[in-house]
Amino acid sequence: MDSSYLIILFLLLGLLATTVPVFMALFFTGTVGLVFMIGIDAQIVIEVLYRSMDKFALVVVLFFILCGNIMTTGTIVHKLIKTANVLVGFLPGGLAMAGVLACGFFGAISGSTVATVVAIGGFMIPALIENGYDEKFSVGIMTTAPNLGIIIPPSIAMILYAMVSNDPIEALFLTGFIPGILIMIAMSIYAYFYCKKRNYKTLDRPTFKEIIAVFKESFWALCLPILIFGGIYSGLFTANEAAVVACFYAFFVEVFIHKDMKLQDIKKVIVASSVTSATLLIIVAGASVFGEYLTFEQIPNKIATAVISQISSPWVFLLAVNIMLLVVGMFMDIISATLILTPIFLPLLASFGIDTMHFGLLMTINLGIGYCTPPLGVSLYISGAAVDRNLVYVSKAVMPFLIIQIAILLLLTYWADLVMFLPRLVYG
Amino acid sequence: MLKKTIQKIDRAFIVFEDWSLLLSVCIALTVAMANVLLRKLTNDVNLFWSDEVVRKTIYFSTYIGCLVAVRGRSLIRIDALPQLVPGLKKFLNMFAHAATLVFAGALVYLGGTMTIMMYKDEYAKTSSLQLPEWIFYAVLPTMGAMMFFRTLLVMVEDWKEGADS
Repeated sequence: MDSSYLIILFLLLGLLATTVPVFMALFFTGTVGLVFMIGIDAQIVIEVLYRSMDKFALVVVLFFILCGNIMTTGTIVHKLIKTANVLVGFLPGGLAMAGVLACGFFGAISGSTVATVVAIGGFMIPALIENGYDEKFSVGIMTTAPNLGIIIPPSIAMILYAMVSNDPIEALFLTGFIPGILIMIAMSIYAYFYCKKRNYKTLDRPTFKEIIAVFKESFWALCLPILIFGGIYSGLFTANEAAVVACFYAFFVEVFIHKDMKLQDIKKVIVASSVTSATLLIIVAGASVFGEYLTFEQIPNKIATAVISQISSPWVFLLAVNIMLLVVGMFMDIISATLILTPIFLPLLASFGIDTMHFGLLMTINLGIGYCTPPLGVSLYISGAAVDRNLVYVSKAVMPFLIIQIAILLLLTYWADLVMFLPRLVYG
Repeated sequence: MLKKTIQKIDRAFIVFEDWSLLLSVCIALTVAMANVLLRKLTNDVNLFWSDEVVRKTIYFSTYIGCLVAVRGRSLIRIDALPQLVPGLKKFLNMFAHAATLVFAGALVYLGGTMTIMMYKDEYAKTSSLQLPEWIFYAVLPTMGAMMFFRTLLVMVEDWKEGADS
């Protein structure tokens, strides 16, 4: 390997390890590579910083974050939880299943795991414990189920992946439905048997009248995912436009129908969402500078050639990638990892005959699992804070659920047709 | 006297950041929604400039949002090392701030040079609205200068608090 590549690699890892913000680490590394190693004019980095942010696709990230924040500030989230509860709450482990289902509902609107674990986990963990569920079980299920936030579309990670891979975002979104539903079913089955074995109390079966009352109350909240997906897949609007419409709808419902959001809350929500979005999107800018260096040096192609000479089977390649991504996910957040690794993996996919959309989904699940793995799983810290427990306790609590998610990940890795079923059905 | 002046500047920055973020997101949201509605409700009316307005406001809000994130210490970073070796926390914190200062300085210098270059180029205009491009390039050095100031304040705060934050 060229010594300049090693210098760049160590510089990047060193800056990341020394807590320099991820986008700056990428910026510095890319700049050193471009200016000092290749000898390109330093002005190019400014051009890249400017052009990388001048993309309409980025609007989706901001607006889906905003939509999630509007829901969390208002009462849409509570209405979704109530609906989930009335549907499955009476079964053994029903409340836990309701938590999983609510994460699915919320994931179908927000697109972020952290937002889901804060919004649903923060409410459901105390509720489960109050209803006699074991604390460890409650923490475990409500820390891992929010991964559905990025698996079930819209997903911020998928949006950024699609930007790099040039896959149509609407089609990529479709790859997330079946895996999301599979995870929901598997976690619910586990909850059912776990709770049945321990004879946890179940809620009374709701009467038809009660079900109708809850659905009536949640009507406007439930229309939101229908609006997003109905709009996108009926061709009424694009994913970008869906994000805009969803924001307006959520504002309208919370301010004028539910009346749970005051006008002064709007400023807070918008500013908070812009900052959250900025912390993610600025990584796109840093990654673009770094990506420019990778492209100039043709590093992805060189890595591809080296990997292909060592691995010939797509099965072995996918297994190796899964292991690598699981490890990366332990240390790096999903946005940074997606933006840094996607350009490196992309040239390899064609050589192994792997669909880029299939790979995007695998990458999203793999890195999503990273939210629940020590030492840097953000979800572990959020849930730990909710019950005042340390990292080791929460890490043990999530183990059974992580095993379930990894098992499903392996199934999806080697059954590409299942992942690609919906995109092929809709887009041919 | 110096402390009061710095506090005043800081407060002015906060007002500017919050209101410009609010305004830019509202503009982006309204223009994008208006375009969707016009396209769906009429067959031929289309705000041809809407994409550009949305792109520029997202660009602007991302860089300004980044400034607020420096204030709130919420930029995404990998903090495995200080968790594994808590003794290194203060040193690493200061190192990260120093890196931010270098980044801010680079933005001021390189962004400033680029802005002047664009200012001199009379043909450098945006595609739809024909606005001078230098206005948008100027966001980078401006943000760099504000980030430099903000990081210095955060650095002093962290130093005083023993980097507990």
